[in-house]
Amino acid sequence: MKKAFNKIMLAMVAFVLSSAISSCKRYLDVPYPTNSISTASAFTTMGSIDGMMNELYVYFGSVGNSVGLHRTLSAIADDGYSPTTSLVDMQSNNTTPAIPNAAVDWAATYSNIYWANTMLEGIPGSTAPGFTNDKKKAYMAAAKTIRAYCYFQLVRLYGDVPLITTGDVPANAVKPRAAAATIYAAIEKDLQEAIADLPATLGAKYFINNKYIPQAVLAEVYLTQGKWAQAEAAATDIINSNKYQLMGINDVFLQSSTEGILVLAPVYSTNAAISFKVSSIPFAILFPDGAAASIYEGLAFALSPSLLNSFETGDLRKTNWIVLKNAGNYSNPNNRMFAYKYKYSSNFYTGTIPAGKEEDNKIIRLAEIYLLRAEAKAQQGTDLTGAAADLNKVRIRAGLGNTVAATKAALVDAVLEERRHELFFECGYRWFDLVRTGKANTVLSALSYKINWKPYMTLFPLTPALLSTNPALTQTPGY
Amino acid sequence: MVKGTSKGTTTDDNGNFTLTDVDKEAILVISGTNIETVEIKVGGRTSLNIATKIKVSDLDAAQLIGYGTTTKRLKTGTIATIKGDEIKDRPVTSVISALQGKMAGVIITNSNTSQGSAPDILIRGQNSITSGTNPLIIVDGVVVNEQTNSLRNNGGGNTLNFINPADIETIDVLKDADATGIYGSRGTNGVILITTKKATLGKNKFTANVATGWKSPTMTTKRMNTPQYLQMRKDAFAIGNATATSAINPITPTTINAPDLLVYDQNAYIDFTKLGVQNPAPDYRVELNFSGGTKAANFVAAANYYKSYDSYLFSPFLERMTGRLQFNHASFNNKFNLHIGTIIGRENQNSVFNNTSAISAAMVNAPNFPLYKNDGSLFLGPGYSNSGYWGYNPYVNETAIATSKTNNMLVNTDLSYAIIKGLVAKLGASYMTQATINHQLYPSTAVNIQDLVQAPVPYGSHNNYLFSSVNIEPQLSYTRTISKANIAALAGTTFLDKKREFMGAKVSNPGNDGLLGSLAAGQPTTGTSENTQEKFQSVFARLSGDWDKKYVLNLSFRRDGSSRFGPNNRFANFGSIGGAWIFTSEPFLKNMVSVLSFGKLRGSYGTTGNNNIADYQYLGMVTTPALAASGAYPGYAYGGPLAPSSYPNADVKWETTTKRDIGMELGFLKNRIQLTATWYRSTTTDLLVSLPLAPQSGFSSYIGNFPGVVQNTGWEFELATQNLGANKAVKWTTKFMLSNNKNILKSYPNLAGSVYAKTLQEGRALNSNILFEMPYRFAGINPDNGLPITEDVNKDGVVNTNDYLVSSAWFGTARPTLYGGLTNTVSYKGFTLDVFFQFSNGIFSKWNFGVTTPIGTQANPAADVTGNYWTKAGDVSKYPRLYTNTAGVAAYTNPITQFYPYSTAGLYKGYYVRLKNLQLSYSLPASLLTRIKAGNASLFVSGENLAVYTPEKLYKDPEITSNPSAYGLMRNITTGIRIDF
Repeated sequence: MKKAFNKIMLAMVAFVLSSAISSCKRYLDVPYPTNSISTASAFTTMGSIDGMMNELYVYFGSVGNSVGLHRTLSAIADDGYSPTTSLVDMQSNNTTPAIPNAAVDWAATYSNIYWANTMLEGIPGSTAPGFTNDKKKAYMAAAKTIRAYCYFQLVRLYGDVPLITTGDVPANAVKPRAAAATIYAAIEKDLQEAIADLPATLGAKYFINNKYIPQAVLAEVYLTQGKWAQAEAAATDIINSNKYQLMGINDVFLQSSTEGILVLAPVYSTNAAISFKVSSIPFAILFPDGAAASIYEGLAFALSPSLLNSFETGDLRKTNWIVLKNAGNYSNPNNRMFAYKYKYSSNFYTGTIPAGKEEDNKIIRLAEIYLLRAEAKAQQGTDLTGAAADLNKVRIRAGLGNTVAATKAALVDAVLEERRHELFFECGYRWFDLVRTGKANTVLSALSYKINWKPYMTLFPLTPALLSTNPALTQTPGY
Repeated sequence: MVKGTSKGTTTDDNGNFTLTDVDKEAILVISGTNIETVEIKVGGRTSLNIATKIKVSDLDAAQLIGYGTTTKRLKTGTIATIKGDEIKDRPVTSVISALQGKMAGVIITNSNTSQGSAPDILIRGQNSITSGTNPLIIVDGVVVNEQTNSLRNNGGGNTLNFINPADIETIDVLKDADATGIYGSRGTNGVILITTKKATLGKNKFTANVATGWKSPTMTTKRMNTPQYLQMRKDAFAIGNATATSAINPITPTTINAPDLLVYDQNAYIDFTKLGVQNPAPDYRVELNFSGGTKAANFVAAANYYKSYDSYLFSPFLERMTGRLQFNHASFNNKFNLHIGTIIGRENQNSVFNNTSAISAAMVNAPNFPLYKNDGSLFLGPGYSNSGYWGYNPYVNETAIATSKTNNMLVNTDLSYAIIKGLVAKLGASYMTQATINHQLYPSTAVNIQDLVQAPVPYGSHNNYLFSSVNIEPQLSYTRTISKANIAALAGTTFLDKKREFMGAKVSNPGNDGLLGSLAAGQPTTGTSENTQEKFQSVFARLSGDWDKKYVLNLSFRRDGSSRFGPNNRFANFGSIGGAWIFTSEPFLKNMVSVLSFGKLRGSYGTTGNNNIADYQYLGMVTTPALAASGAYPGYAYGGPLAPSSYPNADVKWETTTKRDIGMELGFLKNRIQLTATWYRSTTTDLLVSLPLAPQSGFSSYIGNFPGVVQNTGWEFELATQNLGANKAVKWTTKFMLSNNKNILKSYPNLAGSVYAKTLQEGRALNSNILFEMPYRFAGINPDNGLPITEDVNKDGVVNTNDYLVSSAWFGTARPTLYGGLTNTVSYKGFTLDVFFQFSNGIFSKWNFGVTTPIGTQANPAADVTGNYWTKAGDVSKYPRLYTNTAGVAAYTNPITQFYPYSTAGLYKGYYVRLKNLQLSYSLPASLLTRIKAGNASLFVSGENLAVYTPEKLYKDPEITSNPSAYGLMRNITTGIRIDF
């Protein structure tokens, strides 16, 4: 009896063991889901390479040039004012590392960089049929331009930042900040390589497919660093190409405009393909008929009184690019003028856009390049007439007369003031201008609501979470 | 006894008896202390030979456990059981709802009251921070839920909805390590075993049940009427905003900021609560069951139909048809057994798209908000937004139809063969599939400027879900008695393959509302697909035995492998040990048996796991973004973007829970009083959480295991008494259960640096989301200026958004820590009355004043606000000063607009007692039954959620955690009839 029992127990143990062995790990190997592939496999066909490039543009459009970033920069500079609570702390420079959004666009921009790095690592070895060397060069030039633009944002927002140029996540997660000079060198290298690899002819809109796009970014990079001669040369390259024209005051932001150099695709909520939004500017809200304006208060983002009062008489930009909206609950309507450069906001536009009035997002446009060259010429002091001429191109378009500034110092100041009127609410230009010219402290400390302004606030702090996830990171000086 | 009369007799020692003057058609009822009660028709006979079965004591009845059975007497684990008969007539949409308050250690939470939504089940507290708390649910051996968060299951119906309460034999909830250890990596959250009814052998039996119910929402917020509301608005403008120098600064109402005062009819009144949620809501239920056969071959065929309307505007409804077939066979020598069971079902849900949020918005409309313009067309409000409610006309949504259809099928087969005496080989195989298709049709007639959430163009959105699983479990079991030792051994293996698929498409502007269902008309807006697969393989074994039914030992082991886990951690071992000592079987207690009839001490220890994470977490992938994520870059030739998935983790594995359990089971006075007391503690580590990663790397977090520890400790008491003797005409039984659970985050190293810095705190309960949403601490109203005072939580000298980030605004858990139920059943002759109370020491829930916008704006708050707000200096008021939504000095408006609506002023916690169910049924007397040739017939009235008591007068149900605008649990009064033939 006992023997039989033992036999049975033995049989059962054998059964369990054989199951365990037969349970070979292979049974548990599941294939990739049919809507996903490995990164390596993604570089084997043109279709999936295009899909990944597509994502790079999605990131670039919706993250690197987000409404949130531009609104925040307008709020902390002197051209915008918003009672919106999410920005109130930053606007009054109650900027501490702990407040929400303190590290503006840090994570999002690095996500964009990660994806650009992945593309730049994967493309050279790709054996995808049809992926010619010329095509590879063009794709990499676009990725390099996007990566350079991302670093240009980061270095201006944070100063020294980690330089990440590979897709190695664990290694990149622990990198310390690199000196701003190193970052600028990397940006210039990326852009110069992109310029060399891209044609001088314009391709399809909304893509980085001609050399003038990286050239325009490079011009800004030189300007920011005070490399006046190089900035002037880069700007001249763009202007002399005759590919771009200054448009009439009401046509600048239209899709038909030829003023834009770096332009991102439009997104309207009535458009079929929307899910992400590209809208580079805090927009005026077109209120649906009969709706009380106040429900949009969260987005009502107005011009600051100081900007409003600084326009010269007869400036067409004041009459055409600004609108008074009946935001009924604001006591002083003069303080509640909204930017109205783009007439059809992506979020809340509910009607049909009139034919020919479709807009897209101008990130860098010719007017800025003229002003950039004017400043570069003025700063060098050798061609003040040329500087004034460039400045006047923009002034005349705005319905103003020639500039009265004649000296180097006066021209430099006049260009800065002109930039303020031409580029208000666009892509954080005003903020970056104040910081790079060293005027931020003087200008901002004079504003009554900037009660807590400190000179170190020209750079943004890192949040405690960022510091704790990477102990090698140091806090921005001053915070 | 002769049924329906007082005539009766007793048998002699040999079981013989004689009765005289018995009607030819009478029914004899044979009962006794040790035999099962039987009824037999006399049918004109004068001599009867009646066979009776030895009564199996409640203690020796079969008790289901994982992969087997034991008895209540010998079980070593903690298992709560409820019989189907107890819940069969409860008017519930999902059978799980009927378990609330009936089982110790089981919390059923209704996060919302919308019908068809699955209640949340929590067994012995929350063990996991992020990775799912639902137990493993097994219907007749088929795992039906396997919660996953990788695919939107909201489209798919809840499988348990397809289980008709009347089809259920028992529901067993396995809780401790001993009971759940055999389920290994899926056992942590407990296991629910649902067993459907088996065939009644012998003469074919046909049962029909027809019931109809009437639902009504409870505890809707009573809001201001027009005079009260307009007075509030006038008062709001009269006091305006406070400034540093003056508390009162009147504001002039304009047609823009006060259409309710200046444009709308001042005498109009609409009760928007009534309009929105108090519509007729009947439900209907028809159940048919046919069964019979012999031991060699028997069957059950059941069908039922259920239709239930919601009380929301436009009467959305849910409709369900299910069928169940079961076939059992045993060979003549009883060596071969076959069981085949299927449950098939179809559920249709018809509602108005976005209805609940539209109704929530409309419920706070000004009571004089006009629904129609003078020309008879709809008056549209400006809509609603997060910053405030300004009037919403819900009628515009009427044509926006949302439908959902789910087909569900479950097939299980068991083949078993007794190889030699005691050794049985068994093959269990099951297949389950569920397919759901959803459509949302948003025609041009529903497009409205009020709708700021949805893109205001006509569109059709179509989603298709398919889930299927195949499970194969070969097993060997062996039982043997050696001397006084009874030994049982079990070994088996599991192969499980689950697939989920999803496809969705949205097409805008089809040009004609008749084409909303077309994928070809109009512009394709989104098209998404997802599919996932999980494979699971394990071996398991159990060895159990007892000595003389006195000492019991139970060992179980399981080795699980799952494709969800990283290649480095694919397999895991789990095991448990359980033991019991039936001390009343000891000789020294033999003479106590008249008082203490049964006594058992049991305990268990072991480990289980939780594998509720998304599939493929270890795999780096390039994928198309999920539904509603970013679309393609416009103008790009290539269709959709390909994005990196989350950062892969090759080490990702299960959460490990160690469970300890000690219990005592006592029976007094021939088990008329049965008491069970259990203490448990479970500690969970290797927590599956979102781990932070330096964002500069490209990713901000990834899923991984963290050595934090979550601990749940609690007591459970169950008391069942037979209050009157078994032979009394009036029968009265009571069941009482009481549970307590203390849930804490025992440790979480570097919590401040984790993504949970704001939502968790060491030493506190895990589930405190509500407090996170209401983070400001309310400290009263300042009588000088009427501003609410909120504490400076972080002590930096100013109340601002920084206080929002301080997690010390912590008060308690959003789950009850003490809860239970009390059921009394009294029967007399044909009448049975069931009274069931359910209670809890309360949870933190949002209740506030009915709106999250400041009081005084164009939103109708609770009527309680009337006259209770601040109007002048010196007022000591319950509610703060009013606000007109006119921006003022931030320091004086932020307390009202930013802090107060999100402060603890809007939180409520208080115990409550609910009359959960009251049921009266009446069985027709035998004489009547004979006339209609029925075996049994009963009429019943059942009332669900009849009343609730909580110390404070509330505007909402104390049990519903969210959505202050909705209503409480539905009251449902159902009447029905049940007939057996």
